[in-house]
Amino acid sequence: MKTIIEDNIDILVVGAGLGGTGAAYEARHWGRDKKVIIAEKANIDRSGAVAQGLYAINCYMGTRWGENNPEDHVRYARMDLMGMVREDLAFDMARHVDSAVHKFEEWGLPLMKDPKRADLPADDLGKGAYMREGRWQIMIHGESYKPIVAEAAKVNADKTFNRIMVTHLLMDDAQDNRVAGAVGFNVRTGNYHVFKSKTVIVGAGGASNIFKPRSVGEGAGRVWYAPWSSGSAYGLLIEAGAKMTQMENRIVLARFKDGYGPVGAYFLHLKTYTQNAYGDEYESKWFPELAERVGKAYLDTENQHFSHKPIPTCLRNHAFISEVAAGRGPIHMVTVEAFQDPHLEEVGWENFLGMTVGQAVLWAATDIDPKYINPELTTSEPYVMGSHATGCGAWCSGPEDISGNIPEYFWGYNRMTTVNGLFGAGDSVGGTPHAFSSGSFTEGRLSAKAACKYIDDGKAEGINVSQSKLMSVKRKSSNL
Amino acid sequence: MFVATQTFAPLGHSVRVIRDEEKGTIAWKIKFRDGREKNFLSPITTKPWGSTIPDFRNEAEPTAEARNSELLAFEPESIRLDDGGLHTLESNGLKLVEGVYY
Ligand SMILES: Cc1cc2nc3c(=O)[nH]c(=O)nc-3n(C[C@H](O)[C@H](O)[C@H](O)COP(=O)(O)OP(=O)(O)OC[C@H]3O[C@@H](n4cnc5c(N)ncnc54)[C@H](O)[C@@H]3O)c2cc1C
Repeated sequence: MKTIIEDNIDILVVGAGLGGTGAAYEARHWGRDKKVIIAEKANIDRSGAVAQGLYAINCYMGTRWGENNPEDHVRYARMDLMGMVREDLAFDMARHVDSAVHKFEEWGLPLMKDPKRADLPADDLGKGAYMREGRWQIMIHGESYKPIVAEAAKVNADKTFNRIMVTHLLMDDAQDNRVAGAVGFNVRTGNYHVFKSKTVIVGAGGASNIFKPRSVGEGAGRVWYAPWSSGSAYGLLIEAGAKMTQMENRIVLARFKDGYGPVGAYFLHLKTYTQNAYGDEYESKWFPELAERVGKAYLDTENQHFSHKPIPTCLRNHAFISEVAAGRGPIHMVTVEAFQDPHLEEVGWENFLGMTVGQAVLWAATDIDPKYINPELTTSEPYVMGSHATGCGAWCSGPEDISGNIPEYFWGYNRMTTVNGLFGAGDSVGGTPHAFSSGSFTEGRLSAKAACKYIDDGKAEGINVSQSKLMSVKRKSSNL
Repeated sequence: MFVATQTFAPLGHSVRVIRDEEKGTIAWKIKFRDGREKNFLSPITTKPWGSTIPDFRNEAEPTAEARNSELLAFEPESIRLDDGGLHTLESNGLKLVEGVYY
């Protein structure tokens, strides 16, 4: 086992999923002469939560058509998370996110167009040309989403180290709250890698398998969230002393049973709906009781429809779980109506093929054709991740023009954690739910620009990691 | 020893895929256990593979003004594809308040 040292790095990206690829790309724009290095435990062409592809970009404002403004996103995320959002960070992500999506399209990602809208003049406000799945989501043919985006990072980084599992961050000798790099090992060769860097952007993703998965026996190993996501985004930051937020906020999702096929396109685009074992709509029955518990601010059954407020995800899950506990399960998704339309049937299948092939495999294996059989849904086991409908992660600084007057929200560099020189993106940033793939990429871009500024401002001068410290980190790393 | 008590995904089905970066397509053939078949074809890219990704080393340096602004690469023009600027609290008539409020 060799020790390989990469020295004089300016920007080290740990984990190049959607956040990390955005960071590496943007770092080159603002840091033409800076040394940008990626350390990724898999291969960035197919790593992270988007590895298998996605069928929708879940965060796109459409400000160019006046569809939504950033503050609309803030209101939506705040409602869904029942108040627990960093509004400054959410606004900041939302005002930039469309520019990332437009670049993805330029790079070749096939965004679906709405044939009814494509020819509208650009000034026809309120009507965008992309195929909307819902108010925030646009539909894509995204099997190759990750390799396309990875290309942008590979072209712009000085070097991409694939197969490096980063285990610890390095801290500066003189200032113990200043990051100085990271260490890890190659999962194929076992070689030990030391990265000495002025700044580190952690985009190492959320965590599966903290809670016992529902799928047991022969189905063990199948989870909704990427099974290889081991929570490094949090482990690395917590050990470095970064302040964290909302770590008790876990995400549970209603998904197609056993295959974890997503339901977004089914509900929003195919207009399929759920029913209990008796064929009854059950969700609204639980709302009066829930409204009493959470208050009108979050569940206003009389006015919900008119105010276009979403019903918080956790409350809908609660209705689902309560109905099953009351003995009226299982819950089915009524697909047999929508699937009679060949176009909708195609969307229904391709939605899985482009991101959750296992669901298609399972249906083929069990002869479930949703055109004739309504498939079963269930709630997933809990996960810890901060970019979906949850906002756990590090407490980060916001941008100066928004957060600058509030010391608790601003300490100089956008998306910097409370550890100097240590930045986050995507799942690792707390208080920013509903960023999703595009928003995570955007956060990577924001942190990379700020990291360049941090270096240019001289904040990384004189960093040193003593040999004895390196040895002690190595001992920790190899005793894992 | 683990003994499977029921078969989770019985054999006899198949999901075959052909992904072609040259053509920019992905083709699926799904065979159910009972022999039924479904075929799907989707695009995976609209451009020759990797041809449109910029290497910033070949682009003009950002200005000092851009560095000191809140703008990212290709912004503001790539946000709205018109001459609109970046949204700010001021431009949108908003004020940020500290803490949790309703
Ligand atoms: C099942 C599922 C479905 C989703 N569907 C959609 C959707 O339809 N639309 C949408 O817009 N968004 C969707 N999302 C959300 C989106 O995928 C995430 O928000 C986004 O990928 C988060 O980006 P990230 O960079 O934080 O994490 P990831 O993209 O997961 O990247 C984390 C990276 O870090 C690497 N890594 C982890 N640990 C280490 C380590 N110790 N050392 C080195 N590298 C490490 C991983 O290999 C990976 O490359 C979905 C997410 C999931 C899980």
